[in-house]
Amino acid sequence: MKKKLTIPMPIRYLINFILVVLLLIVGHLAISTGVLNRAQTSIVLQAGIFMILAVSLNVVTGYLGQLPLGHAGFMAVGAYAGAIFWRSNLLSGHASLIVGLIVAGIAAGLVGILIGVPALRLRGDYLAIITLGFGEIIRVFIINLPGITGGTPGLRGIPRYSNFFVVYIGVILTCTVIHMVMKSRHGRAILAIKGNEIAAESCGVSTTYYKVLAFAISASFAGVAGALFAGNQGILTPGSFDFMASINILVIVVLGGMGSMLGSLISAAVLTSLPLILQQFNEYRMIIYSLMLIMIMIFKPSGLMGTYDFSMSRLLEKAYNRLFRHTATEESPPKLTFSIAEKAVVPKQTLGNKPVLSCQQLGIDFGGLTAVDDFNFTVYPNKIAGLIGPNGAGKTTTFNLLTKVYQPSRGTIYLNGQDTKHLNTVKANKLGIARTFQNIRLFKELTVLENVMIGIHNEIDYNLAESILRLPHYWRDEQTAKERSLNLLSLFKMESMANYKAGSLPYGYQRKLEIIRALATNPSVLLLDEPAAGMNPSETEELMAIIQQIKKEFQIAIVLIEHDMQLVMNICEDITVLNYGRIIAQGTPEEVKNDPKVIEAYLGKGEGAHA
Amino acid sequence: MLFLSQLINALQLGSIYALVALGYSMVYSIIKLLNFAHGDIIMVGGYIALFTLTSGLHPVFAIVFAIIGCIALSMLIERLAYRPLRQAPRISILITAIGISLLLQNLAQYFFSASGRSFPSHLILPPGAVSLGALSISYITIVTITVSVISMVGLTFLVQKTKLGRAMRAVSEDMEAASLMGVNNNHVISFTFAVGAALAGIGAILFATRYPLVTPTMGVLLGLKAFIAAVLGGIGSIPGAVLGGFAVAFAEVLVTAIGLSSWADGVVFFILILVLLFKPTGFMGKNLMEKV
Repeated sequence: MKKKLTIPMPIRYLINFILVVLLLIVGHLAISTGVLNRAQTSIVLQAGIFMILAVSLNVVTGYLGQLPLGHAGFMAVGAYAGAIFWRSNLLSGHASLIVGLIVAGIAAGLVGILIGVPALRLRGDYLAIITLGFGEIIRVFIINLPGITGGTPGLRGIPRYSNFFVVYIGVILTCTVIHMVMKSRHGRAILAIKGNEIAAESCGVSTTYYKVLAFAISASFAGVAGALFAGNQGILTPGSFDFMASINILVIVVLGGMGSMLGSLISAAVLTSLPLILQQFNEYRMIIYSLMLIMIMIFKPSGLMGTYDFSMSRLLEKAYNRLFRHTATEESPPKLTFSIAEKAVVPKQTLGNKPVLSCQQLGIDFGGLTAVDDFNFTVYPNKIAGLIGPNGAGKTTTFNLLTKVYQPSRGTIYLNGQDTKHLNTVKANKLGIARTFQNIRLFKELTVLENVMIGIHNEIDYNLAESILRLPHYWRDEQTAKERSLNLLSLFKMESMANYKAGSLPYGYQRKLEIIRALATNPSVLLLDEPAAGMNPSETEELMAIIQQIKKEFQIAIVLIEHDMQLVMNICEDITVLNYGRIIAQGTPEEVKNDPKVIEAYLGKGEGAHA
Repeated sequence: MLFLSQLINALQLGSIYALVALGYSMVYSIIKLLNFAHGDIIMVGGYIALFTLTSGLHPVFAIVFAIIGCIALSMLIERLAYRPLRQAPRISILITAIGISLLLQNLAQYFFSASGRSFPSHLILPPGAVSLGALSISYITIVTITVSVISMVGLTFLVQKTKLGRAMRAVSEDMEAASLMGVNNNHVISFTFAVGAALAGIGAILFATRYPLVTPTMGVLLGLKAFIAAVLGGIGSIPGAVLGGFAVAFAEVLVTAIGLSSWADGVVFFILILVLLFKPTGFMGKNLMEKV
């Protein structure tokens, strides 16, 4: 079997660069030789501006999975900021153009953060409304500050900086920066939030930070597009930035496919040029737009391109492999080039014999209901503890308390000797607690490998600029993260599935993957919430072996919620029994098994008396 | 005296907002959809009433046709556009609702032209006012407030005291459990849309009589304000929607009265944002927490 061709990264970048330059030359020639007349050139510019708007909105709708309805507001901030700067004549020529665009981007980005911080506390529908509100408020401000913005009649005499070259570079820069961010630990974090917010937090991904970041990136590029819009029109009126303008951009993104950059680009080009080319079309334009929105949502919610993204290199690879390497197999699994013994999977921790987790008098109330009360619990490294009890006893609630998904009403939790009182889920994870969920919470749309790499999010630390510029730190960290992830997967014999979508895995493997992802965060305590639920006896057997292997390899503490008594009694060294939110027994499996209170809780009073 | 007349002005506007807000609120509580098209249903109701009146039929027909038209359109939209998406992600159905709203506006613009037509409100209600000393209250104000109060009392009765109302509350709590108990979800949801649309129809007549101009986009701002009212009051709550409607109207009338009418919309949105930030479920909304 011959080896499949894969083009190395530097050459991929070179191919893209050549492609970009070629397109630029073609475009430039078409305009300078008069193939495209003035009107057509203006259409090309408009299309470019809407490409930037669509690609930037896609960051929040497609990648982050939220629906903001005020994108035109950010565009407006950038447009007015840029235009006012240009009109002030502080600088001249190219310097003025460039600084003006930067000013526009920064102004819109700042407004994005200002709006994003409060707005992103809300989700879904509420986020949509609040961004709509902010968008309208921005417009009301523009109308009511005629001294600065020209008010309703408009701001005139804006230098027409936006030519083909400028807009083209704008589009390329936008796409490049957003692409570089998305293909990094930062982008993975954003995708993880879309996949499952609570799981992302339990992997140590700060959802607030990344939501605001996505929002800020989206807003600042919208601002740049706004400035280019100003430099193209020469005049700005508040009417250009109303609710309908936001909807227009949304239509472009939805049509192209939320999550596909290529989709946004194509649909921006088509939807912008159609009404300008076909005058008759303009009459029906909005009717067709709205019908399109409805039809796409009902029949093809993923849009034209779904989440597909174009890569010239991948296309070349495919063509080459098709033509010359008939025998190459599809998707060969990544090979491990090192053995587990060689590289420690998790940096060896010196946990010693001190308790890794201990809580005193922990309790939480929901309204009048006390779900957990007076919970005292200590776990030591290299031990497996069990947490059992009838349904509704408060076991999962306890896990939610320990991982700070819920804030306790009273009591203390110490993690590795530190009080977790003021910590949230993300910080608790960083301090060394990781978990799985009763109802599996994987990032279903991402690959198995990416799921594990999100677990490693905090282990690697290159910053945003380093990822955008692809500095050595980025490459080094990504390599480490990938190797460690494959390594962890190989522990559970899952490395051959690295490129599968997590959602496509069979149930048992999904459970295992969740454990691996939790392990990837390098915890000193691992909480497993009903890992054997839904498994058949042979799978449970295997799981038992895995849990014991984890203990052996990593020397960490494991806490287990489980209903499978055989599993619990076999592998737990210490068992805590909960009923009605209170501990009713604590001890070795033997002690607990024979405790009359435990028997009563499980079997009822009558039978307990006979036992 | 000026204050009192402004107060009555706000009460009237608030009643209309409340009627419309109830439509948003009921639909949201049952299928968790922000029905963006609700405001445009009102616009359609306005046109139906307008054409009935100009065709020379008795005004009663205008009222009846507007209400029936709104109900039919709303149920049709639910059946064709929302029902296929009931299992889809929330974002899909929200975008669909935005699409419907745009479609209705643009169809109206295409067929009836973008410029408005004046509404013969004198056919519905002769102009005039009752004067109480120095204070004069127009007939339409009295009728609006009365009709709104009757509608809301009727709605509360419907939801709290009838079998269908019980089914509605059950479906909004847990659709699956309700259907296991033999409740036909599709019927209940259709019925909810119908009730919301009937209120919208009434709102359309009252609004067009008060502001006698029918335009393809008349529903947008009215819808948006009512929608803010619903969110403000706590979406899904009947008294909340009423409270929200009055709150929005009072804020608007107040800002306009002190001479800042061009800021009025901004202020309304600003209040919405403040309320969402400090009490995201609104004045009277229920707190929903994701189960982990």
